[in-house]
Amino acid sequence: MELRAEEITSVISKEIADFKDDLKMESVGTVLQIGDGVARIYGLEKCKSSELLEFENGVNGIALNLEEDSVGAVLLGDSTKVREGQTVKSTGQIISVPVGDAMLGRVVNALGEPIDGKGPISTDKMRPIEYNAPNVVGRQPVKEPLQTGIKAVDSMIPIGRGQRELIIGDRQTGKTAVCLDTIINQKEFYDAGEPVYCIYVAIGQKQSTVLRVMETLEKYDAMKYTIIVSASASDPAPMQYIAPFSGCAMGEEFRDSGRHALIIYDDLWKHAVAYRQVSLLLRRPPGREAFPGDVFNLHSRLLERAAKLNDELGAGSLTALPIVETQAGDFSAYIPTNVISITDGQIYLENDLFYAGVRPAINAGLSVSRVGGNAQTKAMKKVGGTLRLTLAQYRELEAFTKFGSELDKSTQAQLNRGERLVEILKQPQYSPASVDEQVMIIYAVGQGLIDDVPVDQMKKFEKDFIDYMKQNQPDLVAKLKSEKELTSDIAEGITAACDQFKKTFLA
Amino acid sequence: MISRRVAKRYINGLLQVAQQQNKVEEVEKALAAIDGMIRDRADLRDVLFHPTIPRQHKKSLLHKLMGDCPDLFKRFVDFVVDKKRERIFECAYEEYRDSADHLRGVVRGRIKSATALTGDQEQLLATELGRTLGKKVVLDYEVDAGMLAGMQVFIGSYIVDGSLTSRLNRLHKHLLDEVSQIKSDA
Repeated sequence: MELRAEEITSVISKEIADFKDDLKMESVGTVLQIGDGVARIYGLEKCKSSELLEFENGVNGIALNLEEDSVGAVLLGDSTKVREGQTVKSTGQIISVPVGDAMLGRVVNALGEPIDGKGPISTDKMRPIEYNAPNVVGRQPVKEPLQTGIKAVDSMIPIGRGQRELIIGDRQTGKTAVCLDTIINQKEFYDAGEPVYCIYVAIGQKQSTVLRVMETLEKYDAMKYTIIVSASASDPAPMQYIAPFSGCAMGEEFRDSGRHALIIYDDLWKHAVAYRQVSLLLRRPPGREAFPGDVFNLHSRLLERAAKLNDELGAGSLTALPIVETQAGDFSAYIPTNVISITDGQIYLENDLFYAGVRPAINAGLSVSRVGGNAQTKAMKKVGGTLRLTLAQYRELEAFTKFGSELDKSTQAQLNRGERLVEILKQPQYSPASVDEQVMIIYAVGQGLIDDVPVDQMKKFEKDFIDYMKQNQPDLVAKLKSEKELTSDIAEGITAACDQFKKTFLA
Repeated sequence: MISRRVAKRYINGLLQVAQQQNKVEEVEKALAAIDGMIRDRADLRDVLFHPTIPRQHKKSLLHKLMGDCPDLFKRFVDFVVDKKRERIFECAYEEYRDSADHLRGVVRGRIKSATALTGDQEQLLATELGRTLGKKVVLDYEVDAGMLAGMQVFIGSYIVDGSLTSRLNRLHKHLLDEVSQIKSDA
């Protein structure tokens, strides 16, 4: 674009001529005390809670403590620019972030400002970060599946659109990996024109980690339907505190326009820690583990905004996958128990399993999904129904085998089946499987069709079997895909195909 | 900070009693006198706020300084000294005046203008502001040539900013916003 000097002059003079500046009464206060990202302000008589405040030099703040003779506020920016005695204006608004399709593919900070160096974001839609969750009438039960592409999750711990499923585990157990796989798996739906938009909120993480997430998503072509909201460890605590709310506002825009969105909060433990810091600096009384008393409300009002809306409201949905990191496996600590009780189930990842090579390291016994079962496709429900039980029985028997005692035939068979099942549920990272693929292989194992394939060849068998089915039985696969049900003739078809393939595989 | 909150409590008590005895104005005058002395005299401050000087000395000193004033006020001073809350005298007058103003339906404000206002202008401003706020307005006037033209009105924690410098600043910000908008469209 080429601009001539006269054009610029005319634009500017037009702007100046049109500039209207009405006198209005503004509520102001003075900064009494400033430090640690927290300010105490005198004045601001009619200030409301969570109101956006404007400091001099363009720094913004949020009023959090309304006291008799002062207002306690947190600063969302460089606190070194604010000095004692400066004036503060109240704006009468709650802080808002830009939302909409223009945000997709971008990395933004907690205020919605781009930090990926790809230029400004052109969207004029804004949403307040604090917003009431939909009420009872505005909702409907979870009924559509959200496919994670992870066999262990989709079969045993199904997640529905609008559900809140906690992902909990120690550090380095693959919590983020589960979420990234889920985002990558949504590509199938994006390409099919029924996108599930993804928002990844990184709270208190290293910037290098956020970069790696972005690069991974770019590599698997998943950034085009994803927004990353980053409040890294070096950002001030108030930014980390509002980041999940900003991300949620972006997700609500999709939900309220009748579309589907998935939001990942990585992680809420660090979020609670940031909130604890803010609260203690504001001199609010500490409670258990020094967290403030309203930390439960903080997380429940955030997660309550994930919902499946009713048909009058457009039937959109916002699914939340909060992550909570436990410290040394202690999931009865304050924050983990809080979030467990808020969410509709949890996926429990375990260190021991991870090191035993079971990856994703999902503990099927402790993981549950309270509502997702209604959302499962009929086919998956059929093959996945007994899976959890079979696995539990296998785990129990496994303990016995350690004594080296003689085993009867049926026990031996159960053990064989279990071993193969565990092997099938292992899945490398970044390789999500579609529902029909999952149904076929789990059906084959569950029915004992491949009990005679050696355990160490299961991986290869699975891959070759899926390829074989796609090439030699495309009609059957297509039928399974369209009907989403495991009718008897499809089941028979799979059984026959499996037997045939096994012969060539084992030969 | 703490002293202001404490002062509020004591002053509200004092005002209530003064109201019952119909001595609001007298007490205000006495408080103003003490406030002036504390502000001007560093040695008085040193004695009054010193933690080891006996209360009796402080009381007798204050009594001598106060001269003629309502008994009610003398008792108040004794009470404050007994409670070791001498610090509240630092902001007692301000608090008392604000609370008393509230009772009288008066608001205090400050006008900052680029040039001195004429008497007629001051009169007009006070009546107009009084009409919009529905209260009697008492104004202080101040001249600040730095704002080039126009004026600013400060009332309580509210401000009406009609100075030329602020308007130019707002125009500056508006133009910058336009530029960033054009950039993002391009």
